[in-house]
Amino acid sequence: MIEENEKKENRIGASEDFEIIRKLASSLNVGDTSGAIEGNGEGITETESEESIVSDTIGADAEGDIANDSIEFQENETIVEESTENNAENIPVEVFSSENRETECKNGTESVEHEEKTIKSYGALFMTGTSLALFAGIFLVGTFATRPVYSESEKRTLAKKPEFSMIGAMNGSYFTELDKWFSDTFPFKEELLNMESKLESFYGAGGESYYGNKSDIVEDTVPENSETLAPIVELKPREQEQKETEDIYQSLVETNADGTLKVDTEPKEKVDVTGEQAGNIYVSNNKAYEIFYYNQGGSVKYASVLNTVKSMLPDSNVYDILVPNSFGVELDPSLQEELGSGNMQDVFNYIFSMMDPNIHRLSVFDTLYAHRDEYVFFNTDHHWTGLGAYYAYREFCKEKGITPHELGDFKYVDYSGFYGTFYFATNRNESLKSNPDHVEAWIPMGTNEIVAVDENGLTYNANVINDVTESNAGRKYNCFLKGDNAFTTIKNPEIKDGSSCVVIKESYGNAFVPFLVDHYEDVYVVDYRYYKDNLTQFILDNKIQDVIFVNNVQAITEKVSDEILSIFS
Amino acid sequence: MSFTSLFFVTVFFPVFLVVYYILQGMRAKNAWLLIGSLVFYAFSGINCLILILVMAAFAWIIGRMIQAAVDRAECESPDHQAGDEEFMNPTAQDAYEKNHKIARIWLFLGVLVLSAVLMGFKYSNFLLNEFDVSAQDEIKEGIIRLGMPLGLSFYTFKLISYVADVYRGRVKAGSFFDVMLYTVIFHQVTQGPIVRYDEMVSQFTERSVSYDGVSDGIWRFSIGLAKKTLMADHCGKLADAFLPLAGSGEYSVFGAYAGSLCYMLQIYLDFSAYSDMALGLGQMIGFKYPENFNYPYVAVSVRDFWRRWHISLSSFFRDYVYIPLGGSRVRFSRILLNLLVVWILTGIWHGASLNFILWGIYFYIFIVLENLIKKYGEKLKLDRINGALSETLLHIYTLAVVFFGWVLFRISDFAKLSEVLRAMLFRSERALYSTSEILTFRGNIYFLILAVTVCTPAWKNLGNLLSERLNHSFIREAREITNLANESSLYEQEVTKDQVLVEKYAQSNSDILNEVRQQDTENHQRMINRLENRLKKRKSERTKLEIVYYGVRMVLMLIFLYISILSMVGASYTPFLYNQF
Repeated sequence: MIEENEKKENRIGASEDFEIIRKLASSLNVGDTSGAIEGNGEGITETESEESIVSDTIGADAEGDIANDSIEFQENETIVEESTENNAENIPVEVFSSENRETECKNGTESVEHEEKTIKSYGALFMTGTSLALFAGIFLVGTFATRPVYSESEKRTLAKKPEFSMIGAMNGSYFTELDKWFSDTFPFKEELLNMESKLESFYGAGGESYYGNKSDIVEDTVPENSETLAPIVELKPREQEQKETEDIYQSLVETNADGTLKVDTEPKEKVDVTGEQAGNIYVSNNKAYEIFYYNQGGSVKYASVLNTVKSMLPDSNVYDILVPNSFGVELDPSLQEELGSGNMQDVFNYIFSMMDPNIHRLSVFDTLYAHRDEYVFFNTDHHWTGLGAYYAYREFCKEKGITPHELGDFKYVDYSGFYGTFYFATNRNESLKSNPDHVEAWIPMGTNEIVAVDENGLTYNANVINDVTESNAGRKYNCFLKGDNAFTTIKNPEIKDGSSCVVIKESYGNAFVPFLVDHYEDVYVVDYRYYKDNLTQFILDNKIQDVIFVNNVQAITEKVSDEILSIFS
Repeated sequence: MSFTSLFFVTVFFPVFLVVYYILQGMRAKNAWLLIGSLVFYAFSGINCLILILVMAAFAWIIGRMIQAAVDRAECESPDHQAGDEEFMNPTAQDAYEKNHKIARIWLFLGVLVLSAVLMGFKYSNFLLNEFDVSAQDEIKEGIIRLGMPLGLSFYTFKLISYVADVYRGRVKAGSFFDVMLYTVIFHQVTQGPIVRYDEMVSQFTERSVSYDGVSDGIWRFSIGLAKKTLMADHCGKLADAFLPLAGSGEYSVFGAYAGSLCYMLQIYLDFSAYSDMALGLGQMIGFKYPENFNYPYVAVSVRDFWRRWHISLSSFFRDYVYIPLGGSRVRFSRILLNLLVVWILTGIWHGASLNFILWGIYFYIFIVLENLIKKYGEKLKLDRINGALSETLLHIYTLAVVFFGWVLFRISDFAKLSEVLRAMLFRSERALYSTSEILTFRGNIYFLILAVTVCTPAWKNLGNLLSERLNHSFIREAREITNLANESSLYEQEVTKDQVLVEKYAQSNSDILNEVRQQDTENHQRMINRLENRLKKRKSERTKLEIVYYGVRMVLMLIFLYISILSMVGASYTPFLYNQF
């Protein structure tokens, strides 16, 4: 019996101890509801108090931090002291509360802190290792991968590695250039840019988008038809003219500066290329449109330039073909009005009303409008297509009184995979990417040979319609006349009647000229932006009958008109 | 070099870091840090590098001089230190005062020269323009060309705080190397934070690198990088698109608001991104810098805003201007004057233009108003207003004040400023909105929403939630380990206790002893099994959490770095001229 009792006692003792262990275990595992062990009240309160103390300290810490860091004009410093006092007070409280516990428990909490460090965690190590490897990879790519030299999308040679110079190093410009070169020619630049634009397509909603590239827009309202003709400009000596244009560039450089008083070290070559910067672009239904803003001064100036030319060349037939852009032809007039200026047709009529009635004035707006469901404008480029130019050509033939050739008479070629200026100017808009263009062209029957003088004065041979299969995606419009040359001569060996014409154009004219080849013995093409000689003299010397202006609606600005005028003096 | 240039991210930073980790010993590491910083700064031009070195050397000399004078004062009058000023003998008193005067003269000279250089660079051009001093164009040109040395405003303030701290005895004058490193350390040299010398110098000798620190640092850096290149730059672009400042750009009422909002987002994202990157870079090599921003756009008062915005600058003005002027322990009217000085200085510091001074005064007015309300507010019984409601109202009020503050900050041309403000208050004939603006807004709506959330602590709280859970699971696992260990020791105690009991009550009854022992062993085994199972469970829980935590972090970091590089490459993208017009 005694033995049994003793045994029982022992067992009870053991089970009591066991109970204690269980209680301990349960009290240490807060929130372990699934456990079969019931935590007793004591255990729970203890852990709660422990936790609340911890959170108290954290709270006090945070307050202290804020007070430390912040600007506290009124109660400066005192808060900081208080909070540190709080901290100091908290520590003994914690010790006190843990004294209530059994020794095992106290050991437990101590070793918890100890053990926490000994649990091996590879997370941070792994992350450190990966990110360092990543940076090593970036370093290798950035340093050793081949760098691009030319950017297709921007149509420019990329920055060159600067030459070291002591002065440059002293004032920092050498390093700035180096930095610029490094990022401008970063390996896989085109691919990265492509991906970036993909990223940007997630920025917002809506199929339409707007790209503002030009901030100083002046928009005038289109007046009623003018009663008076635009004045004939008195021609100034050439030198003065040039000086004036230089001033324009000067002011451009200044207005480009963004008020940071940075001296613009950009080379002026860029500004030398006349023509406007990529304007404001509206994208809708996978097609881009350049927004048109009516410019009153430019219109008057343009008309007066034409009048001036006519007055200088009374014996020649002067044709003026004004070409609208896709914005004016294809978009809903109310939308045009919302975005910029609508009624391009009225603009043309107004301009024509200011011109000498002896000028053959051709607004091809109606023509293109009638064919607007056909492929007369590119989706991703600001030009018209060969087809659009063909309809204008038919209109021209009607005005001139000759029979136009049918499209079927020509040999047809088609070059696919064309991404034009809009695509790149919109930073590779995704919806445009899905709608690439193709360049259709009709090779003239008489000849496909041209002799071109480029902007640097070099003469070379090329074709009227060039094979652009191998060309880069952004340069396929160069199919026509091999791009913009200062002066181009096309001699048709099949016509021997001495007929000749000169076409004064910007790049819109390139698509138009091929259709003229079969009507003249000599076709001369002048790009007013690059041509440097006196065109009046040339026309008189060569007894040219037809002077044809092919101008795009965006060219009707005072600056461009001045440029056109300058080649006649 | 800028943190967000490709050259920094792809070349400078990896090379610097690898060499830093390879080098052993704090001296070598510090030397490398100094070399790296000099190279970093040299990218803004050797001229600027020479200037910063001269400035640092000057501050070092001043620091030495002040220290010498203070030391002499204390050495010659030991009584003073013991607090027995009243019983000092007159000669000692004189010597003490003389030396203190010398220290003060050095301090004055130091602060004067340092701020004169800052003023010289920052405001000469402004003064020339504003007051049209008929200076020759050559001089003007020269000054414009000289430009503003990179980070001058920031490191000058650091140096001023250094000499002032030496004078006040907060720190001992440092060695040439320390002062140099303190000034040019590349984490802070371009855009702050303006960390105090004592906080830095202790870390020059004692800091440790851990995997946690490095991974946290890289994480912070990549957040900053993405914030700047992806968000801030695009916000800037949008701000210019909505409300163009240059040229005769058209904008509507909506455009004026949207543009200013984008600018408000840009300025915070841009600046806090720089601070994030600086903190991250520091963390990677064991430095801890104080936070510079604490989500200023969630502030509930203008005072609160300034406690959260550019903290290192406001605390600089507090400690080196406001408190020396008497702090808050003076008459109320004097406080108003002190505050005015602080706010005008704050305004001037931000830029060389009148609108910045106006901007400082603008905030001064609101700070004073809030102080007045605080002083007399109890009479107004403002507490009666419902808590949540009043907090929302206060928040809106703060945001509105800050919003118009940034309008003032952004536009330095007064004619333009009044034009924009008139448009915003519907007092102009501008259209309410324009189609192109609506299209731009819609085309960036998700981006803008994201940018707004980045200005709130929401993302940080989410991250904290995750890391707290991870910590918690660590603690739980550790407890299981402890329990297991305790069980073994308890078992041993039990066995001995049993033996004692058996020996006490039943002489040499080995059967009972065996039985009891067997019982114990069984209990023990059961307990061990249970505990081990639980440990296993905890461990797998913890591992899972850890994988999720670090996995998410790593993936996000990769994305951030990747898109930052994309944006950086994209930034070199210049809209081209129509050369084929």
